[in-house]
Amino acid sequence: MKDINEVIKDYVDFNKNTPEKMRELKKSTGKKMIGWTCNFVPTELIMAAGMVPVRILSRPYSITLAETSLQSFACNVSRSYLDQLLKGQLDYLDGVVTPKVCDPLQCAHDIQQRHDCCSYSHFVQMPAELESAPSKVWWENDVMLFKKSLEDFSGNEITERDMKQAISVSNTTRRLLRQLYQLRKESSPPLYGYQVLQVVLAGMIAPTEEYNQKLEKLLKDLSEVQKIPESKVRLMVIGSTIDFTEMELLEEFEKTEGVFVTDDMCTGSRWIHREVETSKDPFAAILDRYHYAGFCAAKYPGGIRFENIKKLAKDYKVQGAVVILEKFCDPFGFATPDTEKMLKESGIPALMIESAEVGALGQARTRAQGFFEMIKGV
Amino acid sequence: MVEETKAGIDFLIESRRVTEGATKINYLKRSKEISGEYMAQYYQEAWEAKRSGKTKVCWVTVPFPSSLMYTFDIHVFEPELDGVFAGFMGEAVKWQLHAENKGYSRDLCSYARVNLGRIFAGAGEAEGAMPPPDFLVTARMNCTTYIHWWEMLSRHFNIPLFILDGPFCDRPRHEPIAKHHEEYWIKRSYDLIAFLEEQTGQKFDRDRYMENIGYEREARVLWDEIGKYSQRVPSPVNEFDLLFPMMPICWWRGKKLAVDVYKEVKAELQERVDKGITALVKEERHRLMLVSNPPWFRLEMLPQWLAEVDSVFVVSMINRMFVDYADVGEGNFEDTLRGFYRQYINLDIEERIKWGEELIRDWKCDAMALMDNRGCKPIAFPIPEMAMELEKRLKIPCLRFEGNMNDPRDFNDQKVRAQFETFIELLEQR
Repeated sequence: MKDINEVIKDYVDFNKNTPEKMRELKKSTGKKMIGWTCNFVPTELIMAAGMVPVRILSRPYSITLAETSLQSFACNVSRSYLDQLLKGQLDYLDGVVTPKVCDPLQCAHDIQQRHDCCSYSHFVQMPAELESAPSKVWWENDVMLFKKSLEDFSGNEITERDMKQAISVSNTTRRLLRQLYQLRKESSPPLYGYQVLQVVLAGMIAPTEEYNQKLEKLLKDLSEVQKIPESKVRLMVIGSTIDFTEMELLEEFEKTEGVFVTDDMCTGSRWIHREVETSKDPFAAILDRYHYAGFCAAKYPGGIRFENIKKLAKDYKVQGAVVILEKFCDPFGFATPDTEKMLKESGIPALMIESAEVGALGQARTRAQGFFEMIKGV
Repeated sequence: MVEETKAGIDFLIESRRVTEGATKINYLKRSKEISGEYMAQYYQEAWEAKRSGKTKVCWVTVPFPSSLMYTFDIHVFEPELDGVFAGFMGEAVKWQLHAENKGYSRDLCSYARVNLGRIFAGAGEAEGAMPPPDFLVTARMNCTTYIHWWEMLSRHFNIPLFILDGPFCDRPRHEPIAKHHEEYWIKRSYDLIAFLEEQTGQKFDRDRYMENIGYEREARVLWDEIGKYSQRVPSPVNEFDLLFPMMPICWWRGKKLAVDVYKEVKAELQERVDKGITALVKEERHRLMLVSNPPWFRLEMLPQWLAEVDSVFVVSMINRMFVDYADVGEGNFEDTLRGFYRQYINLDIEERIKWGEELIRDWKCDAMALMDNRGCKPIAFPIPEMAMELEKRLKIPCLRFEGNMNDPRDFNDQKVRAQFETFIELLEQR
């Protein structure tokens, strides 16, 4: 029997020591690294340009330098992004990319550009409404501009072959992670939600062929770990960019009676559930994959997530949902009441937690206990 | 209803003149009343039309292609403006609590919370609410809240929604935008026309549209001239008084009504200039620019605090913003659709700074005040960088203060008043 903590040790270690690991990776590969801030960035193009796409995630420490440039009522995601850049903690990055998705992230991007944080900085203009034919044309043109800017910066022309290769790598990552998610459908899943998050976040930070190989090994190893008891309450987590800042919260739920078996979040199922089609022209396929509102409440129509949430809850036999609202997040702030209403109407008990409460883990523990009692009908 | 509304506004304005500063201001008279009167009339007509089924009601966001909308026989309402009005009347929190009780966070747009709260509370004509919409239109101008708020409304009322999405102005504001962005905007404008035809059963009348464009151009010129009166030293008008007649350029540009109102406002200002009436009774020692929406619930108080120390706001970002909103160009039909997106809220930080520089120079300000507005993130977020950079470039001091444009719970009167007093003292020592 293998110890799950040993099995995922490399992922945890990588996440804990990301700057050092990335600097090593940069040195060993000689490749430029481009940070990305949101799932709408077509990272396949970054790979196709011969560079490494690196997801920028928030970290659970005090934000200081960003305070002077972005108010406290901007969300933690945008402030942490800016703070890390201003402090030079992401000095292994050669550039950053942000799509037009929400106000604070856009402003944070603008500010870091004003402070010359990176030698390459690109803002991918993206429509908010994704149903109309003209929005597809807009998207195509702006992704073309993004592609050109990557070519100019990297000095490499992005060929069809490069894109196909990049698509193969990223599709493999998504497919393998979906296999991991399939294991969570079992009545006794092999790992907890916070552990899955460690694995997924590591993949977002540096999705490479090496990561995919490790993931294949992980899937095999998981057949040999001690399974989580069936008696645990099966939960799903719903939110936006749930990352290192909220990890302790997930762990708090899972230390007691719960296990997160699935999710609807940017750093989970929404990142992996759609692949890039390989039967089409690769550029067109990339456009198509990313021109999809279901990734996020920030796009219109945001409500199409609801059917997906209901399906996930059914497929994973979810008994309750924990909705984590990122404080000061407007897209999810508007979506949350209707999300809770939808869950209630679907017969799924829901608990709403604002991310500002994450620091107060004692309170979270108490709320979790009350939630479990409600689910179990005690 | 019209007379009641007018009386209510007049009473409220008078009752808020409570400090020594109030005695130091020469207030506008007719200009502050006129918009409220027309507003009350518009609400009354719209409710009557709704009851009779005569015309449809559309709710729009503030940046909307007004001349185009008014080409159709619809009553157009702006929930943001309704929120402003509730804020001014001291009722914002009353409605916001209803929204918060339904799970809408207090961190969300303070206009949206008033609107949602009114809906959840079942506010109707008696409560001064807007008539419910038959369809919705939003033109996102770098405010993602618009999309989510309008989608939520569409779900709630189960009515059609049209989104006229706005590409971000990622270049200097006087440069042409990317061709594909312009093409998107034009195509979607035609889609909007088709949508309005479907919703109203009317055909689009291009001649009527161009007539409306004529009114919009004229209203814009008048509004621009009105704002420029306060470039004079001393200013004939306190800027906050001009925020009352801002309603027509915000809501009715494209209607002859806006032109008629502004002719009256301009006439009052010209009369003041001819008679030598200035904003402050005594001397004007300091002239300030305000960046951000004002705290609408303190529209009377903030100028009084400044007047107590012989200072006055002479220009505000929100006033001048509407000169751009109404920029419909001088050319043909498609030209009128083009310039719309180059608005303050859709500019990057550097362009906002440049615009601020122009305003400070042209209005001869010796200081500026910027509110960290919790109620509106796209307006607020660039403010720290703007403050630092404007101070550096122009060597004039700036005051940053915390607040919320429409939620008094985020506004500390004593603190803000003391901040302004100290700030003016520092200005005196320069």
